[in-house]
Amino acid sequence: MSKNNELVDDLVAKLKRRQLVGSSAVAQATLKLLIVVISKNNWTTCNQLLNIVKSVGQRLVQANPTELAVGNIVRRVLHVIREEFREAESSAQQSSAKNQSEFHAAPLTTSSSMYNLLGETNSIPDDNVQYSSSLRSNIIQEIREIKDELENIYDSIKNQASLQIHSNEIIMTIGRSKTVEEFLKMAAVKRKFQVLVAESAPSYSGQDMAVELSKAGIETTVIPDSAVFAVMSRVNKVILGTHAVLANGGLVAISGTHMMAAAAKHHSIPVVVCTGLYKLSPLYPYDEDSFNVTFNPDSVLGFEEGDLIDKVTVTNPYYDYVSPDFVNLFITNQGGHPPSYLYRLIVENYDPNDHTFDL
Amino acid sequence: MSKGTNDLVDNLVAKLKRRQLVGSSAVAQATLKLLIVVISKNNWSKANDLLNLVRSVGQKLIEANPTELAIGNIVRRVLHVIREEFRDAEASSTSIENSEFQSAPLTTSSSMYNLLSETGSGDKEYAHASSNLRSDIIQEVRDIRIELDTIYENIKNQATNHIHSNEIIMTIGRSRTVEEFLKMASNKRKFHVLVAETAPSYLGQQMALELSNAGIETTVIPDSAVFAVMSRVNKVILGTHAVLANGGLVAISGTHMMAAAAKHHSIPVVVCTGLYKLSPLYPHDEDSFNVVMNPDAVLGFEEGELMEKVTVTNPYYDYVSPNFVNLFITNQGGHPPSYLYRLIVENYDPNDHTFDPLA
Repeated sequence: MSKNNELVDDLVAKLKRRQLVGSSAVAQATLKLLIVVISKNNWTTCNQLLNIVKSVGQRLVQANPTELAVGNIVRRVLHVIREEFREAESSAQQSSAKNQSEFHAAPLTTSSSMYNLLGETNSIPDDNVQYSSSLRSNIIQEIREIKDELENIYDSIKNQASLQIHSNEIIMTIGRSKTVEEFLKMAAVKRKFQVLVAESAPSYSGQDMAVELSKAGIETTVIPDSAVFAVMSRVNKVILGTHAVLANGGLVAISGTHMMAAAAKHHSIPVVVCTGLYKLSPLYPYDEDSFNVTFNPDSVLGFEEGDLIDKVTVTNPYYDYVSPDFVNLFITNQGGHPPSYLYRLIVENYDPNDHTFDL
Repeated sequence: MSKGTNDLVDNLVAKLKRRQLVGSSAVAQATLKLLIVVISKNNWSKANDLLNLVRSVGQKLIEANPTELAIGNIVRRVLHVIREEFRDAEASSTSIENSEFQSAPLTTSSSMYNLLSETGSGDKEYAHASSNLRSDIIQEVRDIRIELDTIYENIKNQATNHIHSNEIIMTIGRSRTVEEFLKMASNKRKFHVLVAETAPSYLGQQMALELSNAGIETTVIPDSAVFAVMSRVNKVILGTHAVLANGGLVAISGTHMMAAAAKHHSIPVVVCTGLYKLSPLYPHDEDSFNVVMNPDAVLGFEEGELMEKVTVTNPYYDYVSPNFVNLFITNQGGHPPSYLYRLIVENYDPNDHTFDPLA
C-alpha cells in the first residue's frame, strides 16, 4: 500500500481540484490506478485485498463525491475480486475433499447470478483456504476486461444507432454528450434526419453539440430552452445523455433535462438515454438533490445587476434529477434495457456489501 | 290546428319514422320549414296558444325519431324565439307601468341578466299580441332558416386559421362540414389528411374519395392503425352527429378511440359543427342517444355456428366525453367546450326541456 501512495495522492489531488472531470475520464483514471494498486501490493487473503481497494476507493470518493463513476468502478472491481475468490475457493474445496459444501452450484456459474442470491453463499470466503497461483493474474485479467469494455463504450452503443433512428425523424437532445454525439453521427451515415438541440443555458453546452453535429453533416437546429415545450409536438424521439444513472433508474443529467423529459412525456414521445454501464450507480436518490452541485450564480444573474443581488437568492444547479418514469429506454454498451431492468444489472455487477466502503 | 298543416305534419312524421329522412342538416331544415308553415297558417292570439301549438308539433316529430336530436334543437330554438318576441312586445306595451321588465327593452335577446332578474314563471305574462307580432316571429324564424343555409359558409371561412402548411390532419367518417372545411383550407394551404375508414359503415372511404377529388393528399387507414400513426398527426378534426349540453359528442362509432389516442399524445381535437346540432339535453347515460344497426356488418350470418354463441352488436354512435375535445368550430366562431352552456342559455329556454303542453 505504501508503494502506491504517491499515485493515489496524485489522483486524489486531481479529483479534489476538479482537474479531472467527466464520468468517462474519471472512470478510466480510477481503473488504471486500481490495476496498479492490485498488482503492486502484497496480499494473500480476500479480506486483505478488499480492504486495500476499499481504502483507495474511500479516498477517491471523498475527493469528489459527485463523480459517481469513481464509486461505480471501485464497486465493479470489488465485485470482480469477490467473484474470483469465490470461484477459486470452490475449485480448491472440490479438489481437496469430497465433503459437503455449500458451494455445489458455484462452479457452474462464473458470474454472479440470481441463483447466488437464493443459495447460501458466504460473501466473505474463508480466509484459510489455499488459492491457486493464477488467482492474482485472473483478477488482473478480469479488471483489464473492464478496462477494454470502458474503452469500447462508444462502439458498442453506436452500433445500435440505426435500429433506433429512422429516416426523416426529428430528434431532440440537450447539452453536450459524447455518447449521444457518436450515436447520432453513426446513424447519420445511413439515415437522413434532423436534430434539434436545446442550448442548455447557462452553460450553453448545447451550442457546442450543435457545432459538432453539423460538422458531421447532420441537419441541426439550436433552440432556446424556453422553446422546448413549444416544438415538442413535432419531435419524434428525445435522445439524452446523462451524468449518472441511479439504482432506481433515475438520472442525474444536465440542468434542463427534466424539463425536456416532462415535455416529452406530455406528448407521449419516447425518451431514450444513451449511457455506458459504468455510469450506473447502486445508490438511491433519497433526496432529489443528493447528487447535485451548484455552480457560479454569475451566469444566471450577473453581478452587474447590483441592486437586485441583495434582494434575491440566485442558484445555479448543474444537474437535474429525472425520475425513472420519464425514461423509456436505456441504450447501454450491453444493449437496450427499460428502466425496470436496471436492478438486474446492478445485481450482476455490484455487491450489496460494497454500498459503503467501510473497512 | 288547421287541416292543411295537419297533413304536412303527418307527412314529415311519416318520413322520420320510416327513416326516409336522416342526417342532422336535412332533418333540421325540414323541421324548420314545417314550423314556418305551422306558425303562419294557424290562428293564435295568446303566447301560450302558439307555444302549445309548436310544442305539440315538436312532440310528434320527436316521437317519430328520438335519435335525431336536431329536431328537438330546432323546435326549442323556435320556442325561444317566440318567447323573446312576446317578451319584447309585452315590454314595449307596458313600459310606462312599473314592471319587472324595465330592463327588457334594452335587450332584444336573452342574456345572462335575464337569468338573474325576476322574470317570473314565464307564461302568465304573455297575454298581449300586437299586429306586428306575427310577422316579427315569422321573420325571426326565417332568420334561423338563413343561418341554417349558411352554416357551411361560416364554418369554412375559419379554415385557414386552424390549418397550417405541411400539417397532417386526421379525421374519421364522412362529415359534410369537415369536408367543406378541409376543401376551403386546401385552396390556400398544402397539407395531408389521414382518414380512418370507419368500419363497418366504411364512410371514411367515401370521405377520402371526396377529399382527393378536391386535390387534397389523402390516405385511408384502417381503424386499428389510428393509435399507431397518431404520434405523427398534428391535429384531429372531427364531425359529429350531435353536441350535448355538457360538451360531449354523439359521433360516429370510432370517434371515441380517435379522441382518446389524440389525448394520449396531447394532440388538439377540433370539432366542426353547426349550432343546430347543439342540444340542451344531458347524457345521463352514455348510450342514451345511441342506435344499433344491423349486426350483419360486424359478424355475418355466414358464420352460422358462431352466431348462436355470441352476442353481436353494432352501435352506430360513440359518446365522446367533453374532456377529449379542445375546440368547437361553429358558425358563430370557435369556442371551447366550457363555453357551450352560454350558447345554450342564449338559444334555448329551460322551460322547453320537454314538450308537455303548457297550462
